[in-house]
Amino acid sequence: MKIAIIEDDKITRLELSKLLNSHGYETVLLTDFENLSEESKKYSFDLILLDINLPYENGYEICRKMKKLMSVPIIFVTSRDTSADELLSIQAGGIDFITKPYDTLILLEKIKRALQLSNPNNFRELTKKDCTLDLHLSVLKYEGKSIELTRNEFRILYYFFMNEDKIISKEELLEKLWNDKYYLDENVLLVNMTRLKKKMKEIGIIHLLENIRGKGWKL
Amino acid sequence: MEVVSFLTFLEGKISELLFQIFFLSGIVFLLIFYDVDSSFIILSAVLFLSAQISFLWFSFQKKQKDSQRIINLADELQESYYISDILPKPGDLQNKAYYYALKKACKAMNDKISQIEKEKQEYEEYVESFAHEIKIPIGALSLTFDNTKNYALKKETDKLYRLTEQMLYYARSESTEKDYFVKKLNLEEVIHNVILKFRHDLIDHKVIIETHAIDQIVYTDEKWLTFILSQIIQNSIKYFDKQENKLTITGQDNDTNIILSIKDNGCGISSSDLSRVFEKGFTGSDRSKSNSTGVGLYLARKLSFRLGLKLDIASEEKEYTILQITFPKGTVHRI
Repeated sequence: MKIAIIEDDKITRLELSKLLNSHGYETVLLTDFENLSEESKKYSFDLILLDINLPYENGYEICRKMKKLMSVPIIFVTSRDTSADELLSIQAGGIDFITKPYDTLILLEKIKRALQLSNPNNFRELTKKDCTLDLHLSVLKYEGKSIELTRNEFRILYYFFMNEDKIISKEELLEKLWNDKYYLDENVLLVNMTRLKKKMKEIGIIHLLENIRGKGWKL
Repeated sequence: MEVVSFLTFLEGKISELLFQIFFLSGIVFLLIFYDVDSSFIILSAVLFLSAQISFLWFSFQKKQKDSQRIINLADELQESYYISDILPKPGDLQNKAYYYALKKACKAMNDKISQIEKEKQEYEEYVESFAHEIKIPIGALSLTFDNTKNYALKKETDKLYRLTEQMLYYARSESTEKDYFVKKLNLEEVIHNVILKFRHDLIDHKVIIETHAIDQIVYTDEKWLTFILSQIIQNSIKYFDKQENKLTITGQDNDTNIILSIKDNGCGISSSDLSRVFEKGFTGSDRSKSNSTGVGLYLARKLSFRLGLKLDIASEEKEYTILQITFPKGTVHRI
């Protein structure tokens, strides 16, 4: 997925690009503010992050022009936050609006939503390392045996199933849980992890989650 | 203003009256001197006096009526500094002078007011644009610290942002202009975003968050409500003091309104301070918490009021604090 960034503050532009890169997106930085539509023709992308206060033309006008050129979703990213700004951005055809300083979690979430990546897969179950996670019944199955998972346990395991081979730290796990309205504190998370491992052991799963010392866990 | 009695009215005309009585007695003496029939003299004197008294009475009545009209005009006018524009023009010399003086004073005052209003508006606009400008570097710093995972500095940046935000809303709360946008909101979503906003602080403080029945629909401005909730949660975080910190957020639908309660088990507020927490600049009698501006709750309540919401507080010292927002159902918000 490729995201175009139109932002005149250099540091913001570069850091934004860094952030998106580290989350698996490619980025295109458009900086020829005088001829943005010309410049944008050279690339293809799936989403535009657009600032409002820009030299030469403001974001609303650029948004209207871009809309004529291509049909990609546009998210306004701006330091202006009055109701009027929000209204104008919707009128110009933006699909979302986020104000500076960005909360990275919310920004990434909005990008996901804009790219329609967030609808949790329509699978019924996920299978990794011979273990099957039933997404509807919150059940983990292995070699014909199965265990029921609590709400929290299921959620935790779900992130690992969705991010195979990636080390997920305690902090990251907490952020992901909070983002999905599971406001666990650290202790509760650790208790859940321990219980989850114990449960899995009962049906013979000892290979699913790997403990990476000082860093977190990995599927 | 008290109503002037007839006697006081006469008092004001004392020199005129004395002169007329003196003049009348002069005439009477002259008539006696010239041997005019005494019954004629008495008749003329009585006639003159009664004519004079009834004239005085009627002019008193008229004056009183006119004065009352002016008093009523002044009392009914909401912005009384516009009084000079609606007063009837006086006919007599002295009142004309008073009228002139009043007109002049009102004009000078109105000029001053519009000048101050203009300056205030310019100042508000400046604050607004300043806040927007400073959010650019704050945003850049915040992203940089996120990318480098420098949480200590990220936290400082968050503080910068929150203080800027508070200043911006302070300016907005004073503004007479309507800068909010009432729409249908899901309380759960708004609360979720506020919790996410404070997730680092909440996780650091190992806060246990419980939510009950917050999936409710309310009609209000999202940004203002977010700001109000942020002030409340920020306060809770600041005053947590126990081993186990708890934040309980509860929604409640009573046919006529929706009540949102945010309860923390922090240090609480003494009953002597409780009535003053919404005052501007009140930072509590406990000086050990010096890092407060005394503006947070004041602003929260002021903005709530403007949105037509009610903000209440209850607390038990050392035990808990509850902030309660009441969203009316089906009534029009205050404009």
